[in-house]
Amino acid sequence: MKFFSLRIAIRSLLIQSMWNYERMQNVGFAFSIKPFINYLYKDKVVQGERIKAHFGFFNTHPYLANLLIGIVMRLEEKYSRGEISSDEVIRTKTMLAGPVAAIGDRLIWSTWRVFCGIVAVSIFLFSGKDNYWFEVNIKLILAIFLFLYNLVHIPLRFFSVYWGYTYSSDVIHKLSKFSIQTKVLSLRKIGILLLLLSALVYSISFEDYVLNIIFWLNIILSILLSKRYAQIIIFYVLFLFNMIILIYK
Amino acid sequence: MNITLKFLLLAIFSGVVHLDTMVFGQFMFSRPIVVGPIVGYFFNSPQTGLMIGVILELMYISVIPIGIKIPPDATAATILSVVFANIRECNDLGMPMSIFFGIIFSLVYKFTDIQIRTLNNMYLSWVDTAKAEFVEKRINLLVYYGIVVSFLRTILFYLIVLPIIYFIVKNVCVLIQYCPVKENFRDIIYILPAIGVGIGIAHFMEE
Repeated sequence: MKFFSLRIAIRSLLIQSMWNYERMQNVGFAFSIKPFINYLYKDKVVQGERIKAHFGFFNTHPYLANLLIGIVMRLEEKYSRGEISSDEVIRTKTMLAGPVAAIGDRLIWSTWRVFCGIVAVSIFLFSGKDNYWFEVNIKLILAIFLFLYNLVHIPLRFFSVYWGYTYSSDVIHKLSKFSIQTKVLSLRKIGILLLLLSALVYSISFEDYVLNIIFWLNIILSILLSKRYAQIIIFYVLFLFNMIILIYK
Repeated sequence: MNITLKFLLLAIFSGVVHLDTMVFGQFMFSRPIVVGPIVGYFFNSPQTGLMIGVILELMYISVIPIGIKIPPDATAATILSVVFANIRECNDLGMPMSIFFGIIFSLVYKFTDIQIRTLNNMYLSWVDTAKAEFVEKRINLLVYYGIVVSFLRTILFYLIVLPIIYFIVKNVCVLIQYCPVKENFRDIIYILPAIGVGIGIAHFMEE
């Protein structure tokens, strides 16, 4: 099974290659689970029918999709022994996709990726304006960002097929024991602290109190505007605001 | 290396990098903080690339692809910004100007993304109507199609957009050179990370 998990995890890297508005990740899902279906059923016609059964709507977080693939592999085994119906396999898959996506979006997109970005950006900000405090090592920043992010991403992708297959539908219950919410909140607090601290060190390097005031004014304004407006609107509004202020500086 | 050849190489590089955003893996090679310095190396100015990468990484830090929502493309904004920050006529004004226009054109990239994904719907019936023994082969072909179309679309996008923005940014920079207060504008680049810092803090403060 470990061999299958690895093979399927590699194939799942392409889960969004044919993303479409009608059924979203369906092509990628069918593509990923195909080797297991072929292993389970020897008849070409049955193989095709089962892959077609998995060609319906599917959308979840691309990393945690592997967890669902593992669960579906277990269910597919049960189906092949006649213990459950095909409808049950598909229903479970569709039903779990939502909660798994919510976990993935909150844990990975909304927290881990942002946190890793903040760590990388902070190194740059700590170096100050035009490398005022120290010469920033660009390759080191890239390496830290990619290493830190993929330290979670790659094992998550590769182990979750196996976890899904081993624990089946209980995996969601097991996940809840990890107290994800507490870890997410801790990471967020560290992230805010890191951003504030690096912004402070960066702004000290300006040696110009007017620039310093404008810098912190921008931080406050963008926090306030973030509650209501999209990032691009905030950027353009503050860009023009800064231009006007700088003219009269 | 002349500018046409540079644009061609850059379009091919972008085609590969953009695969990471959606089609293959999402290892985050396509994030602004990574792409910025790499494109910067391409123009012998990795420091400019890093500065732009940091500004855009912070700005797009809370942009998240959820469900059918396709967010503005941070990779396209970064690549275009770094390229135009290196236009000779722009001098120090290149960075803020290039970010200003880079973000606008990244919205055009997002539009092409939506079109491609809408187009993908058409091919689903090809598998639905296939005989059981051909399903496997057709799914493989659809996956390969997805990769190739995404790659070629990106190359085409950059080959069209790069000369257009090159022309716009270059002329805007020439005009600004005559502006009496242009010296003051230079400092704007040091202020821009603040916008992203605020966005990042606001994102992490949300419940």
